[in-house]
Amino acid sequence: MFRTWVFTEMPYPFTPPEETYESVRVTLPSRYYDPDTGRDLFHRYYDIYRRADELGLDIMVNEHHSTATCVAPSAPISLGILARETKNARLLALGNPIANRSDPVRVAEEMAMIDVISGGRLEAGLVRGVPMEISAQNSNPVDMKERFWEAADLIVRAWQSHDGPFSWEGKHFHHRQVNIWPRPHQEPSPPVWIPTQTTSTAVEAAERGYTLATILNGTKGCKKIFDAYRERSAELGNTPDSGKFAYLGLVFVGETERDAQAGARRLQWYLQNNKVADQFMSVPGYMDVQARASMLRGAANGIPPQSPLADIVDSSVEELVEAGLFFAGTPDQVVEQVTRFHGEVGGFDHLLAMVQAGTMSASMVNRSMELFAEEVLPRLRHDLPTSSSSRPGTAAMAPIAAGP
Amino acid sequence: MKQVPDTTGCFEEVQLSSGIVIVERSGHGPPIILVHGEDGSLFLRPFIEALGAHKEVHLINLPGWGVTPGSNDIEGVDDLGLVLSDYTMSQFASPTPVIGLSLGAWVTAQAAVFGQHLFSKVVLVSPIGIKTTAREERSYVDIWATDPGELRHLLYGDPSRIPDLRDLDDDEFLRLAHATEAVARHGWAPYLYDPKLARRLVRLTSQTLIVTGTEDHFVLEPSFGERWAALVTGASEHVAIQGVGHRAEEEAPHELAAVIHKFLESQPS
Repeated sequence: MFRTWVFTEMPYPFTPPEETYESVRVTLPSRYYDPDTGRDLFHRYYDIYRRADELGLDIMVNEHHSTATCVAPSAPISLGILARETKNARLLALGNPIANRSDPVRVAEEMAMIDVISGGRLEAGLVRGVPMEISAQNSNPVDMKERFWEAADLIVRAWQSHDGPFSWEGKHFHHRQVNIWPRPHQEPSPPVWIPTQTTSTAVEAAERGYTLATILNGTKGCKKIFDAYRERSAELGNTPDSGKFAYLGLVFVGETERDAQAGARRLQWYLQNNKVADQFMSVPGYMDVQARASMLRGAANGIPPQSPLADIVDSSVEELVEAGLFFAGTPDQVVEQVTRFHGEVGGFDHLLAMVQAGTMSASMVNRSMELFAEEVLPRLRHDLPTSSSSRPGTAAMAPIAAGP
Repeated sequence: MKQVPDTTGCFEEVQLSSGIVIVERSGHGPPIILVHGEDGSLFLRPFIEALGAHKEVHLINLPGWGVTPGSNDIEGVDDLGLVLSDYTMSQFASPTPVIGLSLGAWVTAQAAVFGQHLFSKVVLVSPIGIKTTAREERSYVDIWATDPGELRHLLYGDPSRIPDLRDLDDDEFLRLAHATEAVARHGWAPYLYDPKLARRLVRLTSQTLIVTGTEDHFVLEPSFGERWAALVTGASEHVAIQGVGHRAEEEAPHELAAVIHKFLESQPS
């Protein structure tokens, strides 16, 4: 079934003029953050999520650190709130930056608790983390991939082990008594998602059969990532259905083209407010050494490292729609855009819809979501070939008991 | 086939119990071991040549810096210290002098505190690897949080002596990329120091020369040369070279070589 996961990065948009600071990530002083304004913003974002639940949409949250672009430093806290505030939406963390966490077992515990509170609605994304996060987390970028997969394997093992403690003495993590309480609601575990922008991680996700997500890659980039997963799956004798694939794009639906354009331009804030200093993007060890050599050569010749979004900062909404980064327009137009994209990348069940950015109000976002839920999603569900698999746990979800 | 830089030195791949190391030998005279700093051997040619006027220089290309391949068995500066120890034991019948540059000085100190008998004399140039300041006082500029251009100015006393990276070829950029990754691997946290090293320096009993630059703005601990000299039991001298920064071997290769030569020729006090 085709699903749409509503998402806001929970920005704090009231930052000083860009020319007055070096980097919105890592070094921008928090004196620019007003806690009262911040409280109002958090309530705005959780209200949007609650409305998404009422509309039959699903929910995605994430976390970042030391940045005004996303002031949610803990996906588990957001999920903890939403596990109680929502009734039906599936709750996706995309994700837990486990290569930056010193204790994967704690992540397993947090996710299990959320899965239980929500009655098995958790989708657990495990993410390596962006290079800009390295300094903020003081996480050694060398061997990060190796650390990530060891943490992922430990977390999944912790979720699936119900017969008393097991021992884990790996290269990066050491626990001699792993025995998490509570265990997750879903069996054998909450679905695991891996977001990536690289084919190498797509291959590794395919080897484990996890759901693959890719973000703002456009049609060509998305297809390349999905194809890498499909090809590796085929090599292993598997045929992944479309339920294994997710794509994140910017989404705004308006009653008229004019309304949609106006909303879409507000959503562009996300692409246009992400000034990051070179040293936080070009991190040794995070990337392949050949790529880093190329980056060093470029920097020596006056070409600084570029944000992945640099090429699209100045693009128009129309250009972004054409490239497959934006789905914006009237309901008819958005149906057409998603359908076209869906066909061009080989199919996927999960549209991760960034619906809010910058100063966009809840009422503005809610109207867009209502149009999507009422006039777009039913047609996508009817028209698009998708997998027949339901999400694990949903069929078996039991009513929440009152009292002990 | 191993890739080695195009230089006049003689390269030898040496199999040690701690792994493979590629050593470049050059110059004439009694042997001396050289352990490079953060950028590997990229900018060391004038210094090696100056040293080579009186010594046979054994430049150890540390594993992971692009000349000697990295190894899963090399996980920290203590492992790099073992490479130095193993090389010294395998190649020399008697104690041999050693020079360590910055991170190479850290490696050298790690080797020397456990192998006092290995080195006849020790020279530590702009050493890093210890922290003696409070927890909210940085000991070294944060390499990975500083604008790369600004960082270069902090490393050199005279901006005109900053190497122009545009002169590097593709292979050298690849070595530089390996070098920056290796520094991150070994120096990320604790940041460029081993919490145990400062108290272990009492075991460094070989006669030791500490050399610093008067314009070193990379090391933030005040009077760090004097501090090293106070911690190292064998430290007989601290020389501060005027007008140079952290990269004394690049900024004043001949002056540094002369200071070292004088120290090596001196009789133990």
